[in-house]
Amino acid sequence: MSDIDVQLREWVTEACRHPPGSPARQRHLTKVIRVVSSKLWRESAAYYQDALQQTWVYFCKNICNGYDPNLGSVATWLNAYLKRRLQDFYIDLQKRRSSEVSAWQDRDGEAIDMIDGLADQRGDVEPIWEKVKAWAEADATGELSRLHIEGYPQVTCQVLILRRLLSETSWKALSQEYGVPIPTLSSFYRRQCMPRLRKFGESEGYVNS
Amino acid sequence: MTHDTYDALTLPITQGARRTALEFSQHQPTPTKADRVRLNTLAVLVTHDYLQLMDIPTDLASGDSWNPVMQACSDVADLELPGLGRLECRPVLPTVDRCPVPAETWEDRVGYVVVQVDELAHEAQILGFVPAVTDEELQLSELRSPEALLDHLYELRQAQTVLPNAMLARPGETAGQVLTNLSNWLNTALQQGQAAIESGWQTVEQVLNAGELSPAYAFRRGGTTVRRAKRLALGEVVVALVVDLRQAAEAQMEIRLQLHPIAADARLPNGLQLSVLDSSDAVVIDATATGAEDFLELQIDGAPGEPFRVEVRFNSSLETQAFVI
Repeated sequence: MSDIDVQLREWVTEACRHPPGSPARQRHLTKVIRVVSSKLWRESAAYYQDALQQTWVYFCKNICNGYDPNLGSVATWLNAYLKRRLQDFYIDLQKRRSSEVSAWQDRDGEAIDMIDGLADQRGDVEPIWEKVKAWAEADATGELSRLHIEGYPQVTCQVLILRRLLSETSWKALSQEYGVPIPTLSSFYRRQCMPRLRKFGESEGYVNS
Repeated sequence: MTHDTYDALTLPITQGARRTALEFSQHQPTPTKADRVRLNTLAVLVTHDYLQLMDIPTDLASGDSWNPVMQACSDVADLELPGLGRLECRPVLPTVDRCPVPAETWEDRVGYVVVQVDELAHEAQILGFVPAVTDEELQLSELRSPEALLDHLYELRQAQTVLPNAMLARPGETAGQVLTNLSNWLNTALQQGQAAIESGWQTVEQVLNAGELSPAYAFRRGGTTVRRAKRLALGEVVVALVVDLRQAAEAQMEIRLQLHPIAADARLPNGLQLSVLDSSDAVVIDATATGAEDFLELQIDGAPGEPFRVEVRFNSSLETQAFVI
């Protein structure tokens, strides 16, 4: 058994001496993940990363009660699990391909379903940023143009929102233009303007879950 | 690339992550913004996946990074950790040696994780983290390892104590107010040489531009001191509450509290009041600004374990910070 395998085994032993969720266990599991990554089976299938993530989840949950050091190295144990997951994904993909006539495949081998494909958002629905622009420009309650940095009545939420939204003016440029230090600008933006933006997002039903 | 990649942790970018990132990016007005939102989302998701492996609870949906309006109007990649605070997850591309940190993320974060995203290979590397940033650019050489992030989050959890209802809640106040444990600041400073930054508390340099500190502030005393600051907003007035902690004797801590205006060359407004209250709600000491002061200062002494509260009032606004020594 190689030096790396000995080291991996030591880390696993150490991890399992501590309770789940404890920093010591987390640290040692991290060390194992870092090193054993390069020893794992690789494939170029589109679903490979999903299989690998499932393997890491399995590793963290089961290494302390499912792994028998006498039966082989940590890498061997993980590879066995990974290959089973890859097999499951492969079988699943074959089933879907054979049953969907309109399935297309892009260069990566990722099956794209014509019907469920990523819809072009620019079609009938007004883009979110245009709605934000309209809302900020209209400023129906006058709140956005009223809120300003103390001592700088021209630096309002309305101005900052539109500048950040559309032309992505950097804080540095805004700071030079208005003569306000960056921390003051960003602090004002965060405390006064962002909560209004957040509320607008929620009222429009935009918050994702 | 100058950054030492030995400590980097490689994790996969799942199909679900790729889809979500792409979908979010399509709501943006410009290609540059679309790229940024896509990368920010990937960084958040990879960090989320890693923390899930480590059994650390996360709440993806409550971050600004998950709100399309906030994605359009600010460059944020925050990940909410229930009970702890928000972690900022900044993406970088391979071959860079520094990471931009936008000013709107300088506050209200418990740490900053840097994630190197390799979209072609569908994988990402958690390069490391820092508990706080002091600039718009973070040098990758300053990063601590992912293991240090785990320790940091653990310390944050330990440092926040919630007292039962009977001790702190007043009528109308929500019970279970979070207490900041000052002894922990000192303990961690002694152990690590660099104090852990707790949720909401940052270095003075982060909260105030160096040029804004009045000369009297620069006075240093002997012994181990820890100094931390937090921005408080009272209506339109934004101030920095600076807490300066010194161990005067075995069971004696000297605590200096200062209030500074955030705006450069400003005075504290007339009527702004700083008070310290003890556990029976009696005012121990207070100070009120007349409009002529650069800052207000109060000093108290106490033994570890003693609770006290700091109140800052201006007109009808009130900000409270609860501490235990």
